[in-house]
Amino acid sequence: MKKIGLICLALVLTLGTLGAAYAAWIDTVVISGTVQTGSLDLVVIRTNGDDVFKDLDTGALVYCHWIQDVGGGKQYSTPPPANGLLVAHTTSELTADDQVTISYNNLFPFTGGWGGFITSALIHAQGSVPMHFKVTPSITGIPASWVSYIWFVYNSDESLHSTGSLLSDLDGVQLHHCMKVSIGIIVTVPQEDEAMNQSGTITLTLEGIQWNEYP
Amino acid sequence: MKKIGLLCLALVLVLGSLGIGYAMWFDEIIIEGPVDTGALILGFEEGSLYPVRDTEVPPPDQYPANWDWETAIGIGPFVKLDKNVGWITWGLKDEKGVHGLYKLYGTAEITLHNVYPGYSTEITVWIANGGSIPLIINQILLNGLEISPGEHVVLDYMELIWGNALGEQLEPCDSREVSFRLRILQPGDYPGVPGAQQGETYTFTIEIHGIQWNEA
Repeated sequence: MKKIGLICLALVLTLGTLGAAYAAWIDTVVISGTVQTGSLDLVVIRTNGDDVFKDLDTGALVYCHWIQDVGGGKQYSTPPPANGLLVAHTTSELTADDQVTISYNNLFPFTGGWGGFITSALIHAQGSVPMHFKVTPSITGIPASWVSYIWFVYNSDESLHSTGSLLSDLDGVQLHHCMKVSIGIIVTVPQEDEAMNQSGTITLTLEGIQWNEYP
Repeated sequence: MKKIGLLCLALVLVLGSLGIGYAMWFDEIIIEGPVDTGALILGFEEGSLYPVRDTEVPPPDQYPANWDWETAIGIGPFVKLDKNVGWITWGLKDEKGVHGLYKLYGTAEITLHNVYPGYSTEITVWIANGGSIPLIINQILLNGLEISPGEHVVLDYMELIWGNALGEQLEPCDSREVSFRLRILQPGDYPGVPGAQQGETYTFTIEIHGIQWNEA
C-alpha cells in the first residue's frame, strides 16, 4: 500500500513538471514559401511542303506549296492544276507528342523552288523559361549530300531574328517565350540512275536547354 | 466552591469590559497585490522582409537590376544571370503588435514565380521582441523538421541554408535580422532527389519559435 502511494506521488510530481514545461510562454512566427516553377516547351505548330504536279492540259510542271497546321488538313497556298497529275509529293503527320513524321514520295531530280523538294516545320517556344536551341541531324538510307537545310528564327513579334543554312549555326541560338523557328529540309535528288528507288530517313532532334545551364 | 464560581464570574466581567475597550479602538492595514503579467510577442517587423537577390518585377522587363541569380550545387557564391525570368513577391500578414514605430506580423509570405533549376535567391527579414519578456529563439522548423544555423537542407525541389538566430536571446524591443538562401534543384543534382519539375507549385514553411528566456 505504501509503495502504491509512493508511485502515485512520483506520478503526480512528474506530471507536475511536465505541466510546468508546457505552461512556458512561447510565441511563433512563420515564413510561408511558395515556389512556382516555369517550363520549357517546344511545340510544332505547322508544317509546310512542296508537291509537284504535271498539268495534263499544258504539260507544264506545276509547283504547289502546302501548309498544314497541326491537327488540321493540308491546304495549298497555290491551287493545283484542275487537270493535274500528282507526281512527287510530301506529307506530314504529327505521330506523337512533339514528333512529326514527314514523308517524301516519288521524288525525282528537280531543282526548282529551294533547289529541291522542301518540307519544313514551324516550332513555337511556348515555355516560360528561355532556352538555347540545339539541332542534331541524322540521315540514313540516302547520301547526306542530298540533304540541305534552311532555317529562320522569328522574334515574338514575328520579325526575323536570324536565318542560315547550316544547322550548326542554330546551335546555341536563344529562344525566348513565343519566339519561333522554322526549319526546312531540302532533298535534292541528283540526276543519276543510282538515285532511283532509294528510300531513306532524315531525323532532326530538336532540343531546348534552359539558357542558364547551356552549354 | 461558591467562591470559585464568584471569582470566575468576576474574571469574565473584567475580561468582558476589556473586550469592549478593544472593540472600540481598532485599525487595519491592507496589502494590495495587483499582478500585471508581461507579454511574450515575437513578430516580423513591418517593411523588413525582402529578397536580397532578384526583385518583384516580372518579365518582359529586362532591366539589369531585375535579372535573376544562380549559384552552384550546395549553394555557394551567387552569380548574376543576364535575364529576368523568375521573380518574387512577398508580404507580411497576421498583425500581432508593435515594435517602436513598426507593426509586427506573425506570418511572412514569399512566392517565387516562374523559377527553374539553378535559380537562387536569399531572403531576409527582421524579427523583433514586441513584448515585455525576454525571449530566446529556441527552435526553427522547416516543414516541421528542426534545422540549425548553417545546416544544408535538401528538399525534393530545392536546397536551402538557414542562416542564423537559433539560441539567441532577444530582450524586449530587441530585433535582429534572419535570413536564408535557396536554390532550385536540377533533376539529378543529388542522387535520389527528383529535382524541380516544370509547371509545378511547391510550398514550404519555416517556423521560428521564441520561448520565455527563463524556460528555454
